[in-house]
Order: sequence, then structure tokens, then C-alpha cells
Amino acid sequence: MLEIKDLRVSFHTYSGEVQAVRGVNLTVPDHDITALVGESGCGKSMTAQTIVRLHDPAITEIKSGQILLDGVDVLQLSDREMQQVRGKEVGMIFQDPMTSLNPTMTVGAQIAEVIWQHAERDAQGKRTITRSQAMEQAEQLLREVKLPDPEKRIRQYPHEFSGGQRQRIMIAIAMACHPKLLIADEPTTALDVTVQAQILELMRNMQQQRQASIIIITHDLGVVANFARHVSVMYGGMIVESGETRQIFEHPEHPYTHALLRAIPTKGMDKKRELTVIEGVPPDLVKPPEGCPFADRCPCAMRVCKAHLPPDFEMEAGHSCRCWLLDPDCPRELREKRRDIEDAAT
Amino acid sequence: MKKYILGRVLVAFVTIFVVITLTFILMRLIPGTPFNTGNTNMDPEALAQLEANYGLDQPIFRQYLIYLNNLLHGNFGTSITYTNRSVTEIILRSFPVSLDLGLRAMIFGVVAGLLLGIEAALHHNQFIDRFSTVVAIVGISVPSFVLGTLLQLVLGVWFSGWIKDIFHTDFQLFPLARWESFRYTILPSFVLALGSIASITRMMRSSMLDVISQDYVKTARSKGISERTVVWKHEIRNALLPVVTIIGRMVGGLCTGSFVVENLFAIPGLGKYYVNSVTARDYTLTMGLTIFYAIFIVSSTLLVDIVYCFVDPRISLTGRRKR
Amino acid sequence: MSVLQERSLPGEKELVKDFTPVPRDLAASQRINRLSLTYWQGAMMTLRKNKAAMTGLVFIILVVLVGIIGPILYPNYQKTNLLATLQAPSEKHWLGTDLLGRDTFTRLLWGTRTSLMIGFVAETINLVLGILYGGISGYVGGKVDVIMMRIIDVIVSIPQMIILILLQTVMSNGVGTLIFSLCVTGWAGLARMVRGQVMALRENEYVFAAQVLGASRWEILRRHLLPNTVGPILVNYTMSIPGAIGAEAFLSYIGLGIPVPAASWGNMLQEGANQFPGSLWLFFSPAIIFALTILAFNLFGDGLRDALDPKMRK
Repeated sequence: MLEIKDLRVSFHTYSGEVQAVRGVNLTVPDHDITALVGESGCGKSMTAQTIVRLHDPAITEIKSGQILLDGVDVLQLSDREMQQVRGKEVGMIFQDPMTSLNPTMTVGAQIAEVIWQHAERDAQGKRTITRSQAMEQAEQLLREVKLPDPEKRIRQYPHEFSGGQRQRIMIAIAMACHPKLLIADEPTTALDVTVQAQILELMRNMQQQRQASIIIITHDLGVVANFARHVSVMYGGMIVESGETRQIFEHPEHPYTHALLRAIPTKGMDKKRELTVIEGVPPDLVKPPEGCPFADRCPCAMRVCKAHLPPDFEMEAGHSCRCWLLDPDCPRELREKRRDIEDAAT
Repeated sequence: MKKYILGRVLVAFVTIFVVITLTFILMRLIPGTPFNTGNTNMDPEALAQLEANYGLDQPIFRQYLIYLNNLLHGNFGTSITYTNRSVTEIILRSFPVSLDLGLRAMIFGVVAGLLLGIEAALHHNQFIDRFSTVVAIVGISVPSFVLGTLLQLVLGVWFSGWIKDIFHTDFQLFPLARWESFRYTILPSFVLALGSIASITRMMRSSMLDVISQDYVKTARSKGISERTVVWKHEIRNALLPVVTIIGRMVGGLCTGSFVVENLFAIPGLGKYYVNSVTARDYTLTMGLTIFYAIFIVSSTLLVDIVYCFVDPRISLTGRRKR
Repeated sequence: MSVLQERSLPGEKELVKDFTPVPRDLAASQRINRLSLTYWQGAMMTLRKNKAAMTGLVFIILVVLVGIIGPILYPNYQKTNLLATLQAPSEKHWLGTDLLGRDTFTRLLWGTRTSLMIGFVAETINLVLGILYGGISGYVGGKVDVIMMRIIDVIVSIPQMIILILLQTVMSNGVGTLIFSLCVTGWAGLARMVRGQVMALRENEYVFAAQVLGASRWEILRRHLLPNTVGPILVNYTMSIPGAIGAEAFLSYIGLGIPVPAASWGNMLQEGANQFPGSLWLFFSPAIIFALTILAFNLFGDGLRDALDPKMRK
């Protein structure tokens, strides 16, 4: 349903043009949860914002690409048509619930606003619901996101809610008009660990009830494991590996994915194996490297990695990876030895 | 919130009390009595009679109490230069004129300032933004008496002379002095407003720029509501809040400005009397008007702050602002 | 295994698949392409790039030099000449003469000295008073702090112009009185700010973090207190000087403030306005230099504020 083709986005700063997204291809299937994983600054939030064109047009430039939502390229839509997409077709949740709600409007008004905006209209163009009906629906939504005392709380202001409660309100706003797609940009990063699980659970329930899809953007592979069906790993402005969650977790192909997995603690973890860090820092996207963006930090780097960007190799159905090690011409022993090299490097 | 308002009211009362006491003490520090400063030539007997009338023969602390008591009853004393006119009478006569001028300037300043500030922020780094920055910085840098004199010269003298040459009429669109019909009010109101326009433009612009980059504006946009609604309901509404507080502080500036503007345009307002009383050494009038101004400025600032409490839902019981 | 897409754009260098392993180059990954500057370097660079602010600074320096040197070169600012009153600008009198035949140019030089002196002296005193009061209040804390802050609340509520006018009425007019009255309440705003900074410093987590990391008192002072406090104080100081100069002009203009025959921008403006609409040079020569100076201080102060705020830099 959502298909991103060769998306390239830059934004302009005083230090120069930052090539935040450099040719992203991504397919999000219907009724499913897809995760976009990567370090901060890898371009994942920029990709997500571009889907609903929430980027700042003054400094951001979409260089090329298509974003097809049910076959329609949202990059070609007029601003008017885009408004019909936002909130109605695609809902969005942001990272910091403390700042994502308007501090001077009651939460009820903020939920009702989106319902009212996208309410159905009759032949004369009049809305078929009244404002008080919109408020009633808002109250019902608060009930759905499991906020206690919705009839009372609907008239309260955001500062009277906790972070987790505010994120529930954000979910209510995002899901109010039954969108087909929910984009959640680091929805749990700013929350306590105990609250994180509840919010994820709520998102999944809503997704299943509403038959919607979710794109979750996160830097935390731990969040992804039990939540998403598909995972795309982003690095240096491009997707370096993508596949089903199971494939990624069991057979990571890209050295970066592998390093990321080794950096999360797991329950049955071998006591002797220590948590590892990925040494070095991501490339500066003002001057992105010519070759593989991970080459400088990669323990298995080869000459070709420094000089040329690897193409996307598909290993099995749905699982693809951008790494020269997977090139058919690459000597087998290098590929076989790479786990040892990686282990030795940490 | 109650606690916050109560605290503010208390501070306001103490402030007014301090001003009254300070004024009283300072006035008593002047050698001689208000009636005997060398520039009146009354005979000693009448002088003694007058001083007795005002209780000036009493011990100083008693005089202070008498003065406080008089103030409580709205009696600010009698003017020396304007014989037989009480200070209260002068206030009642001239304050409405000043209030009229001040309100015109305030409305002008608020409307123009808000419009300029909002437009500047919405078109950040474009022509209107640069223009508003220039207006703001000029408005702050050029004091009202320089601007007023300049406008009197250009519009009042040169422009009128030019009209006279062409149409052979003495009609003045921008009269130089007095306070009669609407056209008399245009120049003084504008001159008095310029400072407010400048500060509101600046404040509104930076407040808008701050709000525009907030997450909740992004949320609003993600709902698919129209750009106009985003700007009005989410951006302007939130950006206005901090600006409301400076409207309270503007009252003081407008009063000070009116001292100059009223003198410049010969408007019979309170500011003109105040400045005249100071230059004429009319101590009772100066004292009375000082206290009146202090009460007026302090209470209008207080009023705006209290109103602000009700406008901004974030000011909770503690009086602190939360996110 | 299949290649999904093989991108080879025109102009790209030829693909040579050289699979020779190379060692990890962490240094290369950490090489930062952008300039990395310290707080003050960044501030100075931003400030230097700000043309308006730099113009303001140059103008301020020029005016200060004029105020210092001018009166030495042209000492006779009180010399009257009743045979040459209200003369238009000429070769002999560059800016004409006033009602008593005094040379306006010479008086303007002296007026510049008076007005700038009032601005700088009064605000420097306020600076010291404000830092002391605010520092003590914030450092001692507790009940003392509460009482000291209540006093500030009252002082900032008193309209400053009223204090100025009242004191000018009671005391003899002159530079000393003016400076004194500007300093009676002028320090309160700064004191409040300094106190806020000191309090924040006592409570802030980054200071605590620095302490935990073993930073010495001096280190904390230098790395945290100075950049965080000096900036706002400097901006406040720059922005308050035009306020003081403006107050002098205002008071002298309404007939308080600096009495003739001394010269100040304010009393020159008043004399000029008295001749209005004739002898315009009498009004406009002080008006222009006065307005430009205030403008210069504001431009420089604005630039300074932007430069010292890392968030504004990007």
C-alpha cells in the first residue's frame, strides 16, 4: 500500500547541504507493522516526515523519488489534497508527548478538531455531524485508548496529564479518523520503560482492531523484536538491510545490523559475551562518503567498500542487504570468516 | 492561582505605600514649606494661616498620618500655582484627556504591532520581516520627542504650507497643537504609539518564531487541518500569551511618553500638568500626581497580570508556568 | 542470490570489485567536516558575521572617541557671542550657533561627552550593584533570599520615570543627581537576573554532573558560571546604556536634568525645540547623533544576544 521509491531528501544548514535521505526504497504492506531502525541522524525521521510532507519547506528539498500511497504519489499532490491525506489516511505520533500537544487547548478540543476536519459532508458540503457530536466521539476515543474518567478529562489541558497519558491522547488523535497508516516517530523513547510496553500494546491493539498498518521509527531494536513484522535498518541516509523481523534477528547479513544486535541485551544472553558498542561515529551527511557509509567503522571493510556504494542484494524472499560481502564475486572465505573478524574487533 | 494573585496584590499595595512614603519624605526634605520656597510673595501671617490649614505646624509623623488619611479620602491636596484648584480636581479634569490619548495609542500600537510581528514571523527572512525589524529598531531608537518634532515639521508645517499654496485654504490635516477633533489626535497618538508598536512587533515576532518550531504545531499540521487554522488556532493563539504581559508593562511607558507628547502638542492632559508642576516647583501637585501615576501604573500592570492568569491555563496553583 | 539494482550513473567511476580487506578506519569516521568551535569562538564568529551589530560597535567606538577627544580640541563650549546668534551652518560654525551665539558643533562634542558619561557611569554602577545584590541573594538563599527578592519585586514595580522626576525635583539638577537617580532603582532588573542564574547554577543538573566528575570550584566557575552568566549580563549592560542616555535626554527635554550652560544631548534638543520651526540645525544635529547612538547600542546588543545564544547559531 505504501511504497517509497528512490527517495532523496536534503536540508540546507549553515554548514551546507545535508543529504539526509539518499535513495531510500521501502515497501509497507497492508495491515502490518514495519519498523525503521537506525541511529539518530541516519535519516529515518526525515523519511517518515516526508511521507506526509511535514518537513519544513523553507530548508528542505526533495531531490527525487516517489511516495506512493495506494498508488498515488503524495509528492505530487496539491497542498489541499495533502490535507485530505494527513489525519484521514495517515495518522502520526511524535517522540515527545510533553511538547506534542497544544498547551492552551483542552485535549477534547484537540481530538475533536481532527474529527471535525475530516467529517463527512453532504451534497451541500455541510458536515454531517455537529461539534458536540465530534466532542462525544473524542470522549469515546479517550475511552478506547484506556484513559480513566474520559468524561471529566476531556475538558482538561495537556499539563494535567502524565507523559504516558499524553501519548495515549496522541494515539487517539492519530487514530481518530481511522487512518490506514499510522506513522509513529520514536513513540516510546521519551517514556518510562514500564509505560513503553503499555503504549506499544495499545498501538498494536488499535492496529489490529482498525486493520491499519504502522510504521514505527525507533533506534531501539529491543522495541522492534516483539512488535514489528518487518524491519528496515537505516544507516547514513539509506536502508542497508531489510527483511522480516525473524530474518533480521536470526540471520543478520549487514555488519551494521549484526553490530546493532550485539549491542542489545537479551534474556538468555551468554554470560561470557559482553554487550558491545559500535566504535566510531556515523558519517557526516554534508559530505557523505562515496562508498558504503559504514565502511570506516566496519571490521570487514574491503577496498571496494570505500570506493563504491554496494547495490541491494536479495538473499531470500523479502530479505535484502546492501553489502559487498554478498556480491557473488566476493571470495567465500571472507564471508565465512566475517563473524570471527567481527568478534575479534570488539 | 489564588495564592499567586494574592501575592501580586500584596506586592502592589506595598509598592504604592512605598511610593507614597518616599514622596512624602522627599517633599519634606526640601527646605522650607511648600508655600515658602521663595517664589511666592505672601505675607507671613497668611502663610502661617495656610501652613496651619495644611497641618504643617504639626510634628512630621502626624503630618504623614494626616496625609495618608487625606489620600484615603481621595484628597490629594491643593495646587499652589493653580490657586484654589485641588489636585483631585485637576486629575479629574485632565486624566480623561490622557486616557483618551493613551487608549488610542495603545489600540494603535497593539494592532499594528501584532500584525507586523505575525507577518514578519510567517514570512521569516523575507521583505516584510526585514521591514518589521527596521520599524522595531527605529521605534526603539528614536525617542518620541525627536519623532514628534520631526513629524510636526514635515506634516504640520511643510505639508500644511504646501496645501495652502495649492488649495488656498488654512485647513490643517495634522494640527500642531491642542486636542479637539479627530484630526488633532492622529499625530500625537501615532507618536505615542511608536514605542509600543516597536516593542510589540519585536515580542510578537520572536514569540511567533518560537511557537512555529514547536512540536504541537507539527501535530496540528499532521491532522490535516487547513493552514489558516494552524496559523490562527495553534500558532497565533499560543504566541499571543507572552505578549499579553508586556501590554501590562506598556502602561508605564505610555504614561511617560504622554509627558512628552502632551507637552509637544499642547494637549491639556495629566502629563502636561505633571511636567508643568515640576518645572514650576508646585510641590503639592507634583506629589499628588506622582502618587496618582504610581497607583495607576501599578494597578494596571497588576490587572493585566491577573487577567493573564485566566487566559493561560498553565499557570496553576503555584503560579509557575508548566509545559 | 540476485542483484536487485545495479546503479551506474554516467560519470561515476568505473566499478572495480577489489575485495582486498582493509583495516577499520575509526579516525576517518570521526573526522568532522564541520568547524568545531568553543563557545566564545563561536560567539565571536557569529558576531563578526553580523554586519548590523558590527556597524553598531564601530559607531559606538567612534562616538566614544568623539566624546573623549572632541572636548579637548574644542574647549570653548560656553563662549557666547551675542553678535552671531542663531546663525545657519557656515565654514566658521559647522553646525551654526544657538540663541546666545554659542557654537553648536562645540556644544555637541561636549554634549556627547556628558550624555555618554551618564550612560556608562550610571549603568556600570547598576552593573556592580546588580551583581552584588543578585549574587548575595542567590548564594545565601533561604529566608534572606526570599526577603531580598520581595524587595526587588517592589522596586521593579515602581515606575522608574517617577523616581527620576521626583529626585530631580528635590535635588539640585546636574550630572551627579541624574546618575544617582538612575542608580536608585536601575540595578533591580539585573539583580533579579543574576540571582536567577546563581540559583540555577546551584540546582542545575549539569553543574551537579560536573561536580560528580570532579571538576573543581574554579573549573565550574570558569566553564559553567561564566559562559552562562556573563553573556546575559553583557547583553543587559549593552541594552541598558541607551536607556540611561534616553532618560537624560527625556528629563533635560522637559526641563529637568542637565541645566545650561552645561551641554548634553537632552538640553540641546530642548533648546533646538524651543527655536522650532526655525533654526532646524539646532534640533537636528543633536537629534541625529542621539538617535544613531541609541540605534548603534540596540543593534550591537541584539547581535550580542544572538551571538551568545548557541541555539540561535545553528
